[in-house]
Amino acid sequence: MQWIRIGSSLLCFSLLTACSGQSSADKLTKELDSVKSWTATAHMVGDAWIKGTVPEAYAKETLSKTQEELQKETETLKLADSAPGHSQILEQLKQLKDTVAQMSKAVEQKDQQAMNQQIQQLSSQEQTISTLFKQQAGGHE
Amino acid sequence: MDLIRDVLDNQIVDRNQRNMGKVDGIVMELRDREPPRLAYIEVGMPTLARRLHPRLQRWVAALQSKWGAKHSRCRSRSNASARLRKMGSRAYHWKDSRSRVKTIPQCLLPTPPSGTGAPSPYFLLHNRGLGYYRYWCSHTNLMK
Amino acid sequence: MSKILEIALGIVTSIGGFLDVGAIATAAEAGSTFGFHLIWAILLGTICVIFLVEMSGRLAAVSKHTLAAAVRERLGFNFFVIPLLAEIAVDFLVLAAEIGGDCIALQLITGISFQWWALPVAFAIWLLIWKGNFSIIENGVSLLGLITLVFVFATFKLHPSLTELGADLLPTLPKKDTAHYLFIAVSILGALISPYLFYFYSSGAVEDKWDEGHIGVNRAVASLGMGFGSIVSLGVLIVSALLLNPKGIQVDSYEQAALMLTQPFGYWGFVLFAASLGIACFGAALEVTLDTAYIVAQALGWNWGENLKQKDAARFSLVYTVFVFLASLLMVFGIDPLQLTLFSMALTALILPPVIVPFLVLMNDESYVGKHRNGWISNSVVIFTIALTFVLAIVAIPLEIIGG
Repeated sequence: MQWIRIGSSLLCFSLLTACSGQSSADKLTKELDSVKSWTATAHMVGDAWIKGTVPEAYAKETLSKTQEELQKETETLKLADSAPGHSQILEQLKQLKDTVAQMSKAVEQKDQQAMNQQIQQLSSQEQTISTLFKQQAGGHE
Repeated sequence: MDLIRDVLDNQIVDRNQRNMGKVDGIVMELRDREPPRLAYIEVGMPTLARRLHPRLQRWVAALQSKWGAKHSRCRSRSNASARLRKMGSRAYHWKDSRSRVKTIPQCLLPTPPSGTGAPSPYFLLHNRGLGYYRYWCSHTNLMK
Repeated sequence: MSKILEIALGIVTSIGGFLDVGAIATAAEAGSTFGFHLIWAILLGTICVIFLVEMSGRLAAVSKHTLAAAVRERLGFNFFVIPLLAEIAVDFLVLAAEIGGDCIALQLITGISFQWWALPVAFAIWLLIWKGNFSIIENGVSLLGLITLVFVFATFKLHPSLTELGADLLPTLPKKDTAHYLFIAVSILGALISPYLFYFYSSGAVEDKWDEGHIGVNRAVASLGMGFGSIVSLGVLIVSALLLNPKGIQVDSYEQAALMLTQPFGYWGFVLFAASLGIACFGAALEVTLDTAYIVAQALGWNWGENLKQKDAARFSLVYTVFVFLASLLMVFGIDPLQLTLFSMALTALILPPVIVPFLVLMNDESYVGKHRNGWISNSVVIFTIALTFVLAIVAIPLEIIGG
């Protein structure tokens, strides 16, 4: 019985420390990292598909997953505190998602030229969104 | 012999060295002006459950009575079942050609002295919860 | 000569069998997110597992008891029920993760969703255990697992900076994302110091009828096999650090990890990654499935043995049959394999203390290991590992919540 009490106290303590929470700036940084990660994944998959180092099915599946993850990030950020620049980030995320959808279409149509264009567009959008996130994070600090 | 160290939780094997469970429980016989002696060993899930908590034992015993092996009477025992041979006044040896775990039929178990008012030395023996498997172990090979 | 061959085979199969879904997932995530900063976790986990695996083999060889049977006999059922139930629960999740790894490998190659592959993979695992024998499972599949050496070749091809590698041998906390860093460290240690390894290894030693003459073989297999095997795990981390980290890709799914080998090896790199993932996970799934059946049968004193006919070990066979089918259902229902893997590795870290503590008792008990008791080095390592696992157990859940 004593062991049960000690164990549950430790568990409560652990949960309390776990619920300490992160600052808004940390959360934004985390979301930015996730967006950058999936955008870079789409970029790398696009390049690999053009070079013929990944099969078509894998490219389509990964680009589809990238779109899902970007959508999840959009939903997460919508629930976050709204501040100046917040709507711009959401708009940029939407554009990113659309670009990845275009990349997926290019794979389906086996259009390497279209894929190249979308990859270039993806790179510039990634830089834009990175700048916006940093501005937002700086505003929260 | 240290009963806890050398008997409890040790492996039980049959004559053909096949595993048939572990010693899950020990029943001691308390005797007047004599040291207690090992009377039975117990094998079975209810015994294990009892070691954790009595309520758990009741649940396990209830489950086993619903889905587990059933008691069988000595008269209706089938050819493949355990054959029990009486080897002495109070010692029994069991033999099972198929190494199947079986219960000891009630007709072969000793009855406690009646009318004495004294507490029974075999207090677990009278707890006839279904699913208990008990073996008289005076002349049985318990360990490898 | 036969002893040398036995040692060689043991080392080779240990290398081939070292990598599993937990090691791949945690190493890939560690490398992609934190570069070389978590190399120390792999090295630390490897040292602990070498000692523990050697002890479980020594116990089996000298006492002819498996670890599970010895723990129950020596420490009683009331203690043993804790690691038993914990191990069954963790084995269930780990097996589901391994099946998930296999399914993902098949998805990568065929494009068919991993959920469709869950039941066929589970059936293949069951069939091999049902029809095969211990030698095929231990040696055959592990030899195929040598394909995972592709990560080591990729490492050499990419020429990592040895200075940078050396600098990260000591643990250093990162400036940001500390919780995630520590969570990955805990997961790596949980993936490497896996309880199923010790139980399976000791059961295998008894199945192979090891005796005191095999103590040398055991020592060589444990140290060299596990040691070289960890190089494969390091290979995954280094390749991930060199190729994915600079691009900002953090491995959150196996689809991202699959890009690891495309740069050094082109299209064949993609195929080799899928093959490595599939074979490593298949071998580990066989081990985990058998491990669960072993520990249940050994705990309850049933007849057990992969080399026995099913009718001679009916309950043992029933356990692994039911277990592998139930574990596959998690993948059928679409649970993310990578997230499940990381979760199960953290949970493994949680249950380590009751699994490791018995080593201290058994390996110093003359009635079990006779004159082959632990020396002061082995005892020190066990005590250190116990302390480490207690810390891991306490921080695993909070880190899972904050940094998972």
